Amino acid sequence: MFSRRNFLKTASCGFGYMAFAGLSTEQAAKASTYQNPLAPKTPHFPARAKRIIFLCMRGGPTHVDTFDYKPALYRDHGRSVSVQGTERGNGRTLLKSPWRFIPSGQSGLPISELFPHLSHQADDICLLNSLNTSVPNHPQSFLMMHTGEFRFTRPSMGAWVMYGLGSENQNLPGYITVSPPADLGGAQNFGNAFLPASYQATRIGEQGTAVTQARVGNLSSPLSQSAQRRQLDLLQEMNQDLLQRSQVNPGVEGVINSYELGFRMQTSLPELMDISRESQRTKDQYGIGGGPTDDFGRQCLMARRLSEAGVRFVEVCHNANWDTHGGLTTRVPQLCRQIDQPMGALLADLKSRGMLEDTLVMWGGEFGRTPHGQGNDGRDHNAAGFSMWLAGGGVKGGIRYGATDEHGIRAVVNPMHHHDLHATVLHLMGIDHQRLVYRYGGRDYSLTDIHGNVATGIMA
Amino acid sequence: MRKQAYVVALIAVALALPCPVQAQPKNSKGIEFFEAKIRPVLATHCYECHSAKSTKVKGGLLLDTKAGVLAGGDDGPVVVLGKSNSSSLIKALRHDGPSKMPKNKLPDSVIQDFVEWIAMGAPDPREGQAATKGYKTMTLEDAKSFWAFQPPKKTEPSVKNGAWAKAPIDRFLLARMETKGLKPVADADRYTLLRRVHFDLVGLPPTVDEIETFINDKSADAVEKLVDRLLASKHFGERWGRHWLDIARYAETNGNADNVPFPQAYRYRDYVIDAVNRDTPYDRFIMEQIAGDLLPAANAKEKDNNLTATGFLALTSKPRAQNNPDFKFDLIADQIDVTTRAVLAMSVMCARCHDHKFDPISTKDYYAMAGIFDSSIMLFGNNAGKKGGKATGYHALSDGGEAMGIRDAVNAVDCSVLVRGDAKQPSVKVPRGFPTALVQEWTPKLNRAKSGRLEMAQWLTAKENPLTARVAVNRIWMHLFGQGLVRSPDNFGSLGETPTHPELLDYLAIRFIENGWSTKKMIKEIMLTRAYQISGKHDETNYKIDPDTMMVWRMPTRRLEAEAIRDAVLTVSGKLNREPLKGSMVGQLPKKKKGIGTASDDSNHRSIYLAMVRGAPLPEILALFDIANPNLVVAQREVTTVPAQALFMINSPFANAHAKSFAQRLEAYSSLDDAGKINLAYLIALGRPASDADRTRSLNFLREAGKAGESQAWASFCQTLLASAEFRYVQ
Repeated sequence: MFSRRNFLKTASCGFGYMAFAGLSTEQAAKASTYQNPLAPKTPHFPARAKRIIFLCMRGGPTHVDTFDYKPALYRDHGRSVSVQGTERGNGRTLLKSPWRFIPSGQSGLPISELFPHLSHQADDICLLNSLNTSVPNHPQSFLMMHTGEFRFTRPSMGAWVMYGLGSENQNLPGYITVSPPADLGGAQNFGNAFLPASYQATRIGEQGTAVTQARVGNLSSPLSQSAQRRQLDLLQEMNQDLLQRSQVNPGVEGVINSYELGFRMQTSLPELMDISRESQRTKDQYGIGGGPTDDFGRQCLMARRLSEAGVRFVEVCHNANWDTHGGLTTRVPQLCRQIDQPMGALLADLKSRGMLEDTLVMWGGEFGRTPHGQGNDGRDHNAAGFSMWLAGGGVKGGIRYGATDEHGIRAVVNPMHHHDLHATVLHLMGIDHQRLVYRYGGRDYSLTDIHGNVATGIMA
Repeated sequence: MRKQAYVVALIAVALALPCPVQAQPKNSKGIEFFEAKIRPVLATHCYECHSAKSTKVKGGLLLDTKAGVLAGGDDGPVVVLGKSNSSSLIKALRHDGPSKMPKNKLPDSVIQDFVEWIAMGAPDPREGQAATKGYKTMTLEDAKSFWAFQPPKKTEPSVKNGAWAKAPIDRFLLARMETKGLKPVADADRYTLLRRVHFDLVGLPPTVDEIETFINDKSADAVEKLVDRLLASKHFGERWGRHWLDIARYAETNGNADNVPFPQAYRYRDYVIDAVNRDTPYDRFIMEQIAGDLLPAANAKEKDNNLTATGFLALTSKPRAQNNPDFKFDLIADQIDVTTRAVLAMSVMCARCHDHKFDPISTKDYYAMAGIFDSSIMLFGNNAGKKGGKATGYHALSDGGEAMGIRDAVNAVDCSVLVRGDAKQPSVKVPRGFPTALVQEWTPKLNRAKSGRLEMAQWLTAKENPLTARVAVNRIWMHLFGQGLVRSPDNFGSLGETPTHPELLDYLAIRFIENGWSTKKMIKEIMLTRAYQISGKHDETNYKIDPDTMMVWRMPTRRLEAEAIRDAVLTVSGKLNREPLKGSMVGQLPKKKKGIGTASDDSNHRSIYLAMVRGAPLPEILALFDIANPNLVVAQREVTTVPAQALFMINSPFANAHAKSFAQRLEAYSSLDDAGKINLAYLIALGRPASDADRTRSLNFLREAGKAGESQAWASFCQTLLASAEFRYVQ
């Protein structure tokens, strides 16, 4: 492993420059303690969740067919609706869900019959039925969900969490995204924007490629361990020298960090990504071994392994598209099939390891779909009301929080905008979203900007 | 600002109420209640911040129409019909919740009126659409005064410290710096400047000979000579042509459902490189790409050139035609998108389904343009879209070759507006034309018998078009300073940024046109300013005022683009093949698409010639260092810094091999001692001599490695130079 000995010796004012913003450059240079930007930090208040796994469903999953049971929708099938705002399809007619909802668990939480596995975990699941967001377009809402903003480049939620809490494991990236899409804002969705570069996510694989093909390449050096250590010491001294000469240079700081992390990842990451060490039983539980559940099963198992090793924020993006304008009756069951068993296994696995209580699992996409049909077998975008769910991490299980109107068009009870979701997630992680700010260009920025209300009703 | 702090003005002016002419409402009692009790309160206490006329709509909430009340704000609905106590509007009025409105609480009796009103179902006669939440749609009337739609104006900046400024551009920058209390830092040293100019113009580091020549050239016009030499280099087109290919979403395969090769796409690539090298006037460059097939040509070569240029409109990633009634309109959507964003930095495509939410672009505007492309035929070859039986052939070239492109259809047709973009729901036909907001006296009239594409090209490149030159010079500026004067180089619309230096932007746009739309002249004028030749030195006082260097008080440090990093590694290792690639690496592959992603792994050609494949991994080093996504129109690339890049530079076979070659180059200088070789290595890799500290550190490393019996000590040392932050940044 890379020795930090020489590196520490040459560390100077560049690192953690912002921390010294109140000092003169000279003073800052004297304060030569190495400020590791990824060192664990104390949260504002005791955290309920220490880490998060975000199961991201791109395309806008239909809520009235999955997690938002609307009896009136079956009754009023065919009735035309009048809508305007952030849901589409004024004048179209209500389309009942082709599937039944089944009361699940002790709590009787209504979950679509499309989730026979996940429904076993109903008592740990907190359905959020009153999500809403600003724009019913994919790229904007996908960015909004990830960064709280779509007009400007802003740090992603994971980057904020890293900035607020640092990493639990210095040999791994603290923030990993698995199979993210290259579109819908691309790297901005897991970027650091104006936060220090060390807070952006490390990407494993990309959307459209099976996760078995995902590699973090170039993890082994042709040099002997000691020879590589020598080389890296020289390299980092050069980089530090440049940083010292340019004084403020976040780009160079980022490069230095990237080598630090890269060196350590050489050993730690291959071990973690290698799920062959898991038992056959575990693999079976996750649905790994070919078939529709294989890819997402691998992603979920990888997520558990990464979380267990201390990766603070893991996002896995389901390698599919929930944008079911058409083919509702064929595509939605396929999509659910792909994720149901893996998600059920993930929750059960986290629970059996005692991790669920401080690991927050979050499921959802950028918006939902209209309860009224688009054609007779599809649904349009709906940003006015949709569902996500949380599990573990100090949230109440077996409850529905918030509600849409009787048909599922608009969030009406305890409406929860993406901003509110962000505020709530940060809260669960021990962060006050109004206090986690970063001074940039003369202004304090936060993930939620001027918005955000914590949904205290879901706290266990 | 938090919601509690919303300033709700209590302005009596609002009592001059609008008096709507009403049809007899159904719920007349409720309406009477609304008119008597509710409307006056809304108008007096709420409209200032919550109406379409508000200068800034707070919380995305509009209370001036029924639709707005029902739509709610950023935080969701404010009214639950029939349920006053669940309505956040009531909570806000009661100051019982996160939001406390208005700031001075209304009398309880008034709040009680609202409770009753909501209990009644919030009867409300105010018709009209709620505007999009929080953002005002720019109307055609607004557009008349919107900055980007105004003709550029000549102005004369006034500065105090005139001595610093060498050129008019300097005076514009200095004027803004002075108003902000900023002082430009010192000029860059010669080594730094040389390296900067080299990467900026040709995307390659200077060779040792080039360094010596420039450093020893003490003449006053040394920089000018350097700039002239590099502008004339064939490598200039390989650098600046790539900038345009980002915008043109250039790729050599289709991507999407059928990722077939475009074996002829490279002709468009070569056209762009050649046009940039010849400094084809920018207006002509655009003209050729939009309507080259319709332009007169003096000879066969010129005809070929013009036809090949129209590849711009055919390179898109096409969806499968099978079972896709919208196929034709999907292609048209791409053509409209790439045209308007590339040339005008305006996004028109959203008007395919609905009027643009923010900019003054209607569906009629969109379908007026769509008619032009609907009257043209995209020639994407015989492969793409095959599944739907669509094969279009190519333009035939005089050398027997073929080129992707566009031509006019036999019959010119107008397009119908498609309701919500659905090809199955045509409504009114609109005559072919251009977005109304940009139709003025100078706009060419369409020849109704033809597609109108020629006139579209003339409209785009008219010198009166307020956007075209501004957009072009802004991008040139961005490539030289890291950021545009408008920091949203592909969006000059209402959601885009406004210019940091509007007068300078106008000056550049006017100069550009005056100089015959010459990109090279524009670049040269900018490079010969004092501002461009400034150092990247930190200054604490300036930094506190302007941490983002918006005012250009120093040269921002810029990460090299992916291509420049790779090409520099090859240059330093001595392996770069400086000759243009003939043809296409994708075209040379067998028909099956297997291996397409690795087609260029062993190539030592410049990166612009590598296989540009959609939907498969691009060459690793390019992908890692943020090459533009070839599915998208990209005006400005992202810059990321991640461990995967670090691991590539120290562990990849590519980096290891080139470090070895670099070391072999040094070894050949047998007359040099170790210190001399180190110095040379620094010159080759970083364009500057090694400092004492560099030398000491490097010698120590070599000594230690020698003691440990390392056979590859020099290669290992060379690799640190390639892997260093300094290598991949220009100052």
